[in-house]
Amino acid sequence: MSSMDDLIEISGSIENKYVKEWKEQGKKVIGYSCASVPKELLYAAGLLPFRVRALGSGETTTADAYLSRFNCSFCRSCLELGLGSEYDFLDGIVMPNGCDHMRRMFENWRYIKKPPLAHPLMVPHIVTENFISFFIDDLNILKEKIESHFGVSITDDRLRESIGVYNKVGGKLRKLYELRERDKPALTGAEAMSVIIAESSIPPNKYLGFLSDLLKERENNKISGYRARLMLGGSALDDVELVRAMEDVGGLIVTDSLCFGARAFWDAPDDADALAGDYLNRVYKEDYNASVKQDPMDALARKYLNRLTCPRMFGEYSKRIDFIKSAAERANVDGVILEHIKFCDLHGVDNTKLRIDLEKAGIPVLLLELEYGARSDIGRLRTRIQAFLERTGR
Amino acid sequence: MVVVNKGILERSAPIFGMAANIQYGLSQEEVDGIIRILPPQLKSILGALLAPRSADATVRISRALSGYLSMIESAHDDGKKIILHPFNFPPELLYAFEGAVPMCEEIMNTLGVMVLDGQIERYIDITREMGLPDSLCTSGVGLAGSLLSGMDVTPDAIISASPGSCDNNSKLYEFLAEYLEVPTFFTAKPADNTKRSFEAYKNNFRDFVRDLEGFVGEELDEGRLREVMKNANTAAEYFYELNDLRKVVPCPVPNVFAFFMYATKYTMWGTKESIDMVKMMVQVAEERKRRGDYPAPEERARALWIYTGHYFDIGGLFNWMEENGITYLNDILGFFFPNHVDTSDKETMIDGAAESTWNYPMTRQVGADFSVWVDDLVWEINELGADCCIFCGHPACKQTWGVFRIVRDEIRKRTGTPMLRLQADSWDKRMTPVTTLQDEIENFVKTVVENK
Repeated sequence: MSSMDDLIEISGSIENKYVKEWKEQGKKVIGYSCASVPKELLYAAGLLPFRVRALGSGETTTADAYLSRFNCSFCRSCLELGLGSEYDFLDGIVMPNGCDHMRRMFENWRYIKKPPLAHPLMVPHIVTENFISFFIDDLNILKEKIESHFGVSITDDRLRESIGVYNKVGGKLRKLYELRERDKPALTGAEAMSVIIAESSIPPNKYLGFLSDLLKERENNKISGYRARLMLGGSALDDVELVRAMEDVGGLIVTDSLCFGARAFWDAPDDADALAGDYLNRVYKEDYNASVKQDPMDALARKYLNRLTCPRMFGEYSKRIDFIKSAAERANVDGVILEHIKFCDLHGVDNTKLRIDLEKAGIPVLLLELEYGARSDIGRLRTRIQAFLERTGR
Repeated sequence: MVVVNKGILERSAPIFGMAANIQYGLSQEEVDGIIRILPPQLKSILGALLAPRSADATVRISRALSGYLSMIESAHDDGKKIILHPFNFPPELLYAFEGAVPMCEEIMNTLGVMVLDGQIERYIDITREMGLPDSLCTSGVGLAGSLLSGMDVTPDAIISASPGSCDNNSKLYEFLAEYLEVPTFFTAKPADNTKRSFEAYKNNFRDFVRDLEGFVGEELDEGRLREVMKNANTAAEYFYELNDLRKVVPCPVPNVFAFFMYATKYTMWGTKESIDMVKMMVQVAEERKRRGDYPAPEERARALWIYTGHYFDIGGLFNWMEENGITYLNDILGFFFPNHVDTSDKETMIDGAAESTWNYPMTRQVGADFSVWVDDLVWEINELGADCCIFCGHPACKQTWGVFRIVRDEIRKRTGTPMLRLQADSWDKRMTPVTTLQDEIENFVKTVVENK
């Protein structure tokens, strides 16, 4: 079995065998819902951070009774699983105000399910020194809550170590994206999404092993037979089947700007072995003074706020379009698909402006509005993508 | 479909100019005469607003709004900058600038709904033709379409006061700013109402005022700031008097005063006109209390609308309700809790404005955990003696829909008050007809409220 097969298997289930092994060792698992949650902090406490997603959710009858049909189907699907038994292995949840839907998903989850630990992380919407300080305070509140609830101690050294582990993961993912974005891509978009999903579903040290093997296995692999090179961006999307359907009609997804994708790790160091402190000094050397260099919590807060290329951040549109343009150029794409889940105003509005500006820059764009997990929509989407490929002359 | 080649401001201003010429103290015969000569789209709305119980207040607010629209129209000629701001931002702070003119997106939008032929449908459609989602909140989308079309005035800057409390509103403002290439100034709210969060908010607000001063090119003059803050404090006193009058059974405050109240708060707070307007509403209500007036033989229900109302047919909702014995006590847009601003010095006044903005409707209730909204509702229910609640079910408001079930259950648990859930777009009549809303409200009152 190849590493890719292992990672695909991991991404194809929620409570995978590595989570079970972790739990069997008496260790705890914390669910988080958004790329804005610093998982390094959770891991530094000896907890396994597990990103909540909605794999396998069909009907959302129970969730709809609490959220509504006017809420995003990804959050409704996650809540459906949360209110059922699929996430009973979690020992707590940490969910931010990622968007209004997610905020309300958390409140319903906490109100109904009453998890032993339920923390609403308050991630600021604008990046200023004032709000960076606020976020640092918030992370310290979370730290204290975790320490008290689980009887552990999160020392600065442990935090530095955890940051170092995740930096190595990010560094290797960057290398994987180099293989993905090159002229002869080494993996498909569906495979890449599985790899990223697995990252937030198993212990990072275990994941690093898979990634190292995968990089070797795929180094000389060359995907062929596709009609166009595409980039995929938009709202929370962990639907590997959907990406596969896009690729089945000839549009190979060679890069992305998804939060289940590049946006989750992109600021990681080029040098996978870089130590956390060195890396942070290098990335933020202009902003850092000598004292904050020594403070990992400060570094973590800055890192997360600065890398959030998500439309939930305000005053940063130029950062988001630059991210996409840069990836599109790097991966030499023929077009960009921007999806948003129905009722996701953050991405729905952002995608409209991105389309205007990307098309001005000569990059063809397809906007797709989706319902999460709606298999019956696949045929319609394939037709849209076929039409887009023809429009781009591919 | 109505073909339009002008923006909302240019089309609305002359209509309010005309309404501003209506005199106080009209007899019913004179009102009927005016209604007869009006174009069809104005017959219904003015017919409703000129009902004897609200006619004088209608005349006063029409005059004030006419002045407001004229001020925006002539701003650039007067060398002033137009600052587009959302409803959840205190206009008094902008009135404190010599060189700035406030323009409230949601009120402009709603005035368009009230008086324009075809309401704001064409402007909404413009945003959809551009590709903006149809799930955006129509409280501002009409004016957005008008601004984006190039047919309307272009603001010089935009204040975005909803990051943290409403994604929908914040994104629309960001899109406007990016598309129109005008600067944005943010007040951003952390997602809870703790002291720590307020301190961060206040710090951000101070920076925001400094940035605004830089943009307008004028340091806030302490004397001018004090004048508007004192006006705001005086208007707030009348506001609380009006709120007290709502407690009386039957309610002497006409239903439509809820709308007049927030139109005043969102457009002219800090001016003499706002004081005159709220004072007049108090006087009208006091007089009606003295006479025991109520528009129906009996007050059958005292309804607290937990979110907004519906504005696409004011006569068909506000007037219809009270003429059928159903009082519209208040809605979330009227949950002001205005603080008395300490006018000692510039710093205390800016901090007072920060506190005021923090407590603005929706910022306070939905920019935090649902329990804040529930607490405010429980307080309003008990204060005003509400015997039922109504949720308008405006589809764009995903975050109120997202906790409606919990809020309804908590309200029932804590106060025993039943709640009706409607489903209709508050600013666009194309989703649900007003007759359907009337039927649902009537059935609710008849079968639930009257049988409690």
